[in-house]
Amino acid sequence: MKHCFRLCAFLVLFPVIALADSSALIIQGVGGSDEHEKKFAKWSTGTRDVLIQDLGFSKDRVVLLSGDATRKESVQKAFDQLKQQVKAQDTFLLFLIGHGSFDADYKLNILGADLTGAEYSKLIDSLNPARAIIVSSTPSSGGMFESMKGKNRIIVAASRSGEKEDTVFYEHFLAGLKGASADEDKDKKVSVWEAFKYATSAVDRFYKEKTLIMTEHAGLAAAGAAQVAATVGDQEAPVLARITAINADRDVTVSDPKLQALLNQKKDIDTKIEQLRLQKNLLPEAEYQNRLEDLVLELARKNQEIQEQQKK
Amino acid sequence: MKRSAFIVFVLLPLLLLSCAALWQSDSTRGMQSARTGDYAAAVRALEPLVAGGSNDAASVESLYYSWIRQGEYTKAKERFEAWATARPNAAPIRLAAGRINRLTGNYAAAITHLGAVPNNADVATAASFERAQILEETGKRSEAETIYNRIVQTFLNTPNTPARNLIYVAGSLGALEQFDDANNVYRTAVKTDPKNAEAWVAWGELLTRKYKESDGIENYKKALEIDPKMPEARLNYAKNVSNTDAEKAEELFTEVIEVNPNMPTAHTFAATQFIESEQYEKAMDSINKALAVNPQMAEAFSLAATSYYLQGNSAEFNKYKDRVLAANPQYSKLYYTLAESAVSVRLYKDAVAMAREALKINPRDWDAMTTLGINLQRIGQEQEGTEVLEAAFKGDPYNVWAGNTLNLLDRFSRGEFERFLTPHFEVKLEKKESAALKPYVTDLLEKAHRTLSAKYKFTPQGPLTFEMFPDHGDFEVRAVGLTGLGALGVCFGNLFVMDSPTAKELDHFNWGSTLWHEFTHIITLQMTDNKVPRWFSEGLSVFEERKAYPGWGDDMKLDYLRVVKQTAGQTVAPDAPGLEPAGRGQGPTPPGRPQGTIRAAKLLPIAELNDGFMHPKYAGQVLVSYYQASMVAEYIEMKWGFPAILKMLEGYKAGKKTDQVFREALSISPEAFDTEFFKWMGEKTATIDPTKYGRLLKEGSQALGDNDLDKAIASLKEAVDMYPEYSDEGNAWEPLAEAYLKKGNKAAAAETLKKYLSYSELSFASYVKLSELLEESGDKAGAAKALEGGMYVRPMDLKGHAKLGSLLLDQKQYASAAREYETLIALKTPDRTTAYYLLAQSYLGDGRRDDARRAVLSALDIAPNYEPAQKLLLEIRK
Repeated sequence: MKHCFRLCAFLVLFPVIALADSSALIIQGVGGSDEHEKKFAKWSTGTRDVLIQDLGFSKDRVVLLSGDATRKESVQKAFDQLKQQVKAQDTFLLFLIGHGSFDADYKLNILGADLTGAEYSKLIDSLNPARAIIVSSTPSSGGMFESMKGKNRIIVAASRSGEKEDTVFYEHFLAGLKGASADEDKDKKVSVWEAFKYATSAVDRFYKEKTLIMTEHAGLAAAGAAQVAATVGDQEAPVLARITAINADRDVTVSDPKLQALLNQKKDIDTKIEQLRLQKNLLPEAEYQNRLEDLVLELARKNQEIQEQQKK
Repeated sequence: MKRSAFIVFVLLPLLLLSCAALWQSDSTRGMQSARTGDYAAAVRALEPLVAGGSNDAASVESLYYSWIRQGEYTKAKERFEAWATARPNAAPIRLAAGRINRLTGNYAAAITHLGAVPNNADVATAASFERAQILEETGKRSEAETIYNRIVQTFLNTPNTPARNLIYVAGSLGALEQFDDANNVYRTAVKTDPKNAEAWVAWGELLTRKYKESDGIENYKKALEIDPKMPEARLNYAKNVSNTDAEKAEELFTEVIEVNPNMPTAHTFAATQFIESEQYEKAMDSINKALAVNPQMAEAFSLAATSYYLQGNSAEFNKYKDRVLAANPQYSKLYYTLAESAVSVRLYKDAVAMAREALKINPRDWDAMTTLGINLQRIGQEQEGTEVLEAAFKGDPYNVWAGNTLNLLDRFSRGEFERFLTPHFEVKLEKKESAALKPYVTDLLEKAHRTLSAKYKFTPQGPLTFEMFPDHGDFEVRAVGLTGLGALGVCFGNLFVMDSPTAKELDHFNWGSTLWHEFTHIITLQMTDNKVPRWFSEGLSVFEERKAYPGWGDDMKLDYLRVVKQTAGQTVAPDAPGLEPAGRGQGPTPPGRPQGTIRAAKLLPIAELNDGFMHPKYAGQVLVSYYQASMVAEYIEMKWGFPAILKMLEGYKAGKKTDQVFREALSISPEAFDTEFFKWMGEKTATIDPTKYGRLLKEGSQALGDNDLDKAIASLKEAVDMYPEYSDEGNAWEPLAEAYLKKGNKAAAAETLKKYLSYSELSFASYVKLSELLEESGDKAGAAKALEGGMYVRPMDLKGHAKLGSLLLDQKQYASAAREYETLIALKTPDRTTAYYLLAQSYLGDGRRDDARRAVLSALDIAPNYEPAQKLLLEIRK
């Protein structure tokens, strides 16, 4: 019941908003060596490309800052420009790629003076988006959970604040976005939770296969709550992270009222299934399976009706 | 008269004073010589003094040690007996007489001498300690304990115990198993008198007894700094390094014998070594040398009994066993040694029986109890084994074997390992990887059981327990109780254990071939009641690896080629450029053991092949021996047929020796077989020229780099045609396949990789590439087979399992496809939805409709809108 309340609360807090869109800012910090420069450039341009090519972002809504454009002033200027673009109903994504450190607060290493987590937080506040997704690839990125937390925010950090070794998390995070590989529920979107889970699972395999001691432990925090690891079950995962897709957030509307009605009925079944899933741990397994089967069969038939209507 | 009176009353005191001064001077010089290893000089200085009436305890003791350290037992005995008769009240003389009689087995006489030492004498504590030791050595343990307790109590009640007695107090505490206190008193003893070499050695013995061998060595070194020749220090040092540095042990032993050619404990140590290497005649020679000095030495009788037990001579075994127990009815070490010997020849049930006998004699023999506990585990009696080990560890909390094993068993009981049953096995896998490995492990275990039981016409008796450890240290503890084991798997007849795939570096371990190898041991050990010789059992295990899957089992690596060529008298270049011997497979040779060089090595005759495993003489000989033994099996099968192998196993089961087995099963003597076999092996290698191979490889690789593909293919093809079995790093197969691919000849590339993988079991990339090429050519069955080979190298590879599942599903191999998807799900594939959906398809194809329904619902639980799964559910519900 507790879970159900949480979901309902979020559904109220995050209703479908017409004409919403998504914007992203990618900041590529300094590498300090050829090897790191190449890696960070690959991740940064890779992020830009995957947002545009795979996740439906408009080109003009993806900003990549690298090289000399990563000075504090340039970052602040970029946020100033984003203010013109990001509306209150929009989702804003910030990707921090490079080296990071933690000493009282988190910092991404950029040219000149670094911005702190608290300063990034203020800059995001200045955009006032409906939701913000912050992803950091850097060592010590767990240090930003405290200074950047917020009720409409989802924060993904590649490592704990005290972990200073190079990370591989982002390599896999990006792979999960590419071609929507991390789309586990086959809804053609990659939720923040799915991407996070996909990446952490790959990181785990990476260290096991290399028989190395794991030097990075990614975390995710949402809606100002404490961070969690990917090892928590889906039922325990932060709802905001589960329902927020990284894909560009645009609504689809249809003009056929019959089709719209079918879509609405389908949505009702979706909601019933979601509510049932939230009760999974409270129901006997057989009962859960039977109820799920009934709902899924209903959904399958509804989908067939929708497809037939679409053909008309 | 006046003149005479002057001499008597004036000069005599001066003369006596002068003599005393001379004695004093000789005594100091003699003791100094004795203490620093110049025993002959010590004897020259001290014998006249003691003979002349000196009863100075230190002088007498120094003289005693100077004789016995040179092996002059007879002389020492004669002299001290004579002096004791002449001076019955001279306590130091009676002590020395007691000691030499103890050393030469005259225990009654020794007790008499020691009993004559008055309680208030300087040497009273030493005499009491000596007496207690004699009582212990003659089976009167409780009487000995009374004396040890008295020594300790006296020490506790006496404010200033003389420094010379601390060694006996510490020895008594050790005998009473108060090891921490003993350790502290020894420490005080050497602190008080850092030049007391005997104290350093005695302390070293205590440390060694409590498994601190390296600390013990440091103590022996301290003693040798004081007395560089001290045989006890050198011998103990040699014992402590005998398993880790054979060369050093041999050097030390030689030095001991140079100083004291008669030392009984040195000869029993040599006998132990000879028994281990199955040189029983030499062992008896050494035993007899020890008995020549001490005809009542229980340890020597015990070793003789062990030697005859291992030779299967029960009459002689019983004779010596009776002698041991006659000499010392409480000598439980007899059975402990026998138990350990039984372990060395893999007779684990015998080891259990022997250890039980040891405990009947001495219920506080913690070593025997530990051996019992460990071997009960090995024969499948886990519950009792654990209880026994707990009791052993309680009795001796220093025992690392018991401690390590109990720690691991604790992890079993804490549920860190999942136990599950297959039709023929109880399996334990660590929980973290259990789900991922379970489908494959179950599949391969049952396949091995099915295949080999039919082939060998023998169904092994259960319970059969299989365990896999992701931590090599845990595997080592389970296998031998200690870390430092190079092997990848060990079989005990009913229990077999091995590293799990994650215990090893990626692509350095084929867990499938290892499992098959170990299961083959189950067959050959059980078939012969564990009597099959090590070499034959190992040879058949590698032989069966080769039969199980293309590429499994070692082929002729560079090291093996060298040895075969050297045996056949073929030219071997000092180094073949481009080729590096690769030491993989069964792990490194035990450290410190082999000191020889492979450059002079040859294949061993059958009669000595066990030594290649048990007592390798050069680095890599263990691996060479595995290979040789496997080729012996190949040769026998080729020439006499597989039934001959079964006949040989029957012969071993009947207790026949190798010579008889060969003559009866193959109608050939082992020596004649060696001649034939070496010739056959030599023919295999005659045309292989490693130097030329290296040159061709270099040329081919260079041409490949330059994109001169025809030249690359020509050179590399010539290399693989000449030495196809070379499949380690830097082989010519892989660049040849690459050259064909660049040339666009995919069929030739596939054929090359297929041949390569018939020699190699570790190249995951090649398995994958071959699978891709075969799939492209339409050979999906071949593609699946190739990819399956890769799963025994990288069982956690998600892409591999996903691809293999799809290939198998495509060929309607539903059960195998289900195994792939079960594994994928266990591996937490990021795309669980698809995995569950395809698992449902596999189950449905395999006729498991209910399982299919559950699987598809699991897919829809994650992704309710996943249309293919919705459709499948509708189909299942039709």
